[in-house]
Amino acid sequence: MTTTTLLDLRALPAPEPMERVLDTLDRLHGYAELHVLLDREPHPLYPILARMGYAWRAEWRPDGACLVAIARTA
Amino acid sequence: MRRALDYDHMPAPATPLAYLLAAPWFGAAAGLVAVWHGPDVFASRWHPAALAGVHLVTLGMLTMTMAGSLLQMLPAVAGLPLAGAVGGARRAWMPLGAGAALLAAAFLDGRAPLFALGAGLLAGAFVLLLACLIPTLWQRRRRAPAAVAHVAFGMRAACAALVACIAAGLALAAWLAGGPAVPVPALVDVHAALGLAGWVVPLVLAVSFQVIPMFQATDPFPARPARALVPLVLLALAGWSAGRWLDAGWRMSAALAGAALVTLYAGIAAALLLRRARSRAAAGTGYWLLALASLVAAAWLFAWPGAMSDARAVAVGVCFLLGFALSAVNGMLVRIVPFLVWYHLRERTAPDVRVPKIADLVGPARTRAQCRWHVAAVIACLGACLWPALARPAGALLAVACVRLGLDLARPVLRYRHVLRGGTP
Repeated sequence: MTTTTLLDLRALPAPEPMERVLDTLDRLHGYAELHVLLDREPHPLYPILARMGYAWRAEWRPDGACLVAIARTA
Repeated sequence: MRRALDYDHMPAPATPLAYLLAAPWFGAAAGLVAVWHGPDVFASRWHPAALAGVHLVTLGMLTMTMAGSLLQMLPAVAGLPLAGAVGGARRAWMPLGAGAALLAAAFLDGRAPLFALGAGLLAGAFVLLLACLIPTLWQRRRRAPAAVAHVAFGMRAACAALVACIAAGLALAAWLAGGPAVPVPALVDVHAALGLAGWVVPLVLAVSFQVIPMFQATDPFPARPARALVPLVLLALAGWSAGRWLDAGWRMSAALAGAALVTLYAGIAAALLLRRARSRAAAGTGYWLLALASLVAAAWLFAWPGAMSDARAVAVGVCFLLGFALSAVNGMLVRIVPFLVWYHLRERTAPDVRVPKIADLVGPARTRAQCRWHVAAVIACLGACLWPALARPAGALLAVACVRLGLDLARPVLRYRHVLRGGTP
């Protein structure tokens, strides 16, 4: 079963959320799915995730937060 | 209002960085002009040394930064990929810098050929820049997303005012170079108003609607004022400029309306910064608060009825150029340059290569120290408007603050090159 790590990075000034996401992915080494709560969709993060071999999906929640789920591609 | 950015069309890092790294050195040169010429710089806005310093700041530091930022932000913030002659715009920083330096030298030296050479270089630089900015801002195939349409409008308005400001400036430079006579006092005033209230204010306002919430972690800027402020400021500018040209007394009403509008803007922005949920201040907050307070001070000093003495006119310039515009530019530079360096390193290096953290590129302590030097320079320059003995120390403080900024911005770029060549971060 895949474990999930949740990071709530809302209310952090740019570009701290992006840096934290990448640091966390480095620590997880792809062994867990990372869920991130943000107050904006992290477009600049996506090209870097693709290069690192991760897939992602983003959805806007009713409370205005953007939930991004990131996992290693098979 | 969503804070959405589009990074699919980000230009190569060298495009904005060439402008952003060059800018602080012109501020340092303006400081050295004040050190060299002393109280003359703060004695009157018509003194050649004051004009040299002003153009080093407005062209060399402000326009250099604003042009570089536009080339970065048009795709990333306004969702408009660069169009037209992009290659020329990448290189326009060179004639822009050379033209600003030559124009300053022309004011100090007074020789007509220097004015002609400086103006020619500046005209070439602006042709190169506008051949990219205009097709980008007014492209038919692609429109700015609705959420940032007001940001794109502010950028368009700023560029339109820049074109008018350049035309007036070139006419004045041609006269100084021995060309046809022009109505100097009225044209100088309209040139200055177009440059400061038409080019600088709309662009800083429009960009701040996005970057204050994003880089300072505040709530979004309220939508209605964000949409209305820039058009209303432009209306006030048009009214004041027409009144000045016709030498009509009612232009003071337009100036008071403009002052009220920028006060409203500053109040909203300051409330966002001071009321944010996060207790820890983000780097650059001090710069923004100083910029907002100085904008309000400059606007009311200018608009308030009464005689415009030399000291008052120079104080308006110091509050606007150093207190408002340079503070906003400093605050943006210390956030954007390290981010660009870090982002392009993450994007260009292999996933297993260690990339320095943003805080290691320009640390928060270094940013706070830089802000203190800048605040000291602004206060000293303001003091020099009243006490001429402060002119040289004020110039020295400005030069030191700008040199420190220049070095702080150059260091991350040197590390970027070092890491790309395979060095340890």
